[in-house]
Amino acid sequence: MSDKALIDACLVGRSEVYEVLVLRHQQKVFNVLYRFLGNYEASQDISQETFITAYQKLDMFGGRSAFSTWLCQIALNKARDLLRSNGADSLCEDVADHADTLVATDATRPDRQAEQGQALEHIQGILNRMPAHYREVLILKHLEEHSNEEISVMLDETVENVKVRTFRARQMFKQLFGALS
Amino acid sequence: MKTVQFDEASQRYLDREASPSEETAFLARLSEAERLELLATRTALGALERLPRISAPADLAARVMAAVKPKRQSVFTRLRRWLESRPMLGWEFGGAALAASVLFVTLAPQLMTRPLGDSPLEASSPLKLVSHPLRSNALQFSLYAPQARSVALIGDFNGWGSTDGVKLAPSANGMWSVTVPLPAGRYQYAFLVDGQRWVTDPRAEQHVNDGFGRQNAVITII
Repeated sequence: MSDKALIDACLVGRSEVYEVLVLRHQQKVFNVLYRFLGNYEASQDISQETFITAYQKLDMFGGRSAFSTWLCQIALNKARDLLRSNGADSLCEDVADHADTLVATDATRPDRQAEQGQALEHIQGILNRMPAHYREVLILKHLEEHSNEEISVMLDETVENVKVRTFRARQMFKQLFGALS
Repeated sequence: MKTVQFDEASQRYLDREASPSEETAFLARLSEAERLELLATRTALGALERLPRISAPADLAARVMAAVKPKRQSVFTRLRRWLESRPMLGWEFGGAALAASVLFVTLAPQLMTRPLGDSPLEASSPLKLVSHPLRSNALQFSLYAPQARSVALIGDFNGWGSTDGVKLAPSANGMWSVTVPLPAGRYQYAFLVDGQRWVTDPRAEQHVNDGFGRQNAVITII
């Protein structure tokens, strides 16, 4: 069943159908938020708020973009508000606190687990060091594989601005990656 | 820090939008230093792309649904539904309202025109709404199981097979299928292969643990 059909059902009072939409899109929303905020608990809270806000504003979803694009737009707006209210550019935590949740590790190879954990920490650490407006385009482009057009909807930017921002973000990521490797 | 100018072609290369031949031609035009710079960027971005997907918290959907209340229908929606129930007002009103509302009747023709499965090799086809001679809300359940001798559909709608066993019919391509009329609701189900093997529908929207270490598929019919 399409997202549109499920949304229409919600709008005529079938609220229980919304669970299917949440289950369908929760991984994407949570992943975008975790990579953007660098904090598991905050990502969990903002994911929950995102889906509740989306439900409350469901009649405003025009269908001009995919439902997942609209959800990411709401999620990133909320995440930016959270960063602003904290006066921070990320809420990074020790990745090792959630290492068992965050990476599929090989239980029979503790050395491999350690390597994987370090690599993961390293890349997330680079993301956390970057300004939020560069971090978000890298996540949407390289982790979620969105087109420039979709990103422009999510970030409320022109496609040209998205391209330039992505270019600068890539330059910075490469330099930090080279410096820290 | 060295300043690098924005260049559309290099961004297309990093977006992986260029074909292999275009990539080769593009790299050949660059100086050695520019090529190394670009490859270093691609290597770094490759590392970023290998970050694993993270499982959302298991209780996220439950927490969202605890805060969700049924929506009250607006005056417009109620008017539209009232018009729908008055066929004498003509196709102009009824047709527009019908197109904008969520009725199985509007979805059925689209779904009915789709083939049974995208490929005969897929593990299972997703549930499909199909026509039914007696009732319109009929769903087709399918499973690809070429080695099976029998496949039954069991679920909470038929007492897990105790009250009314529903057998799937085989076809030549290894697909088993059955069409079952079901009223709106949320159902758990599974397939019972050869009378003993419990197989979940791998392409269901949702799965839940049945408490015995098995996964039941879940379908919500609106």
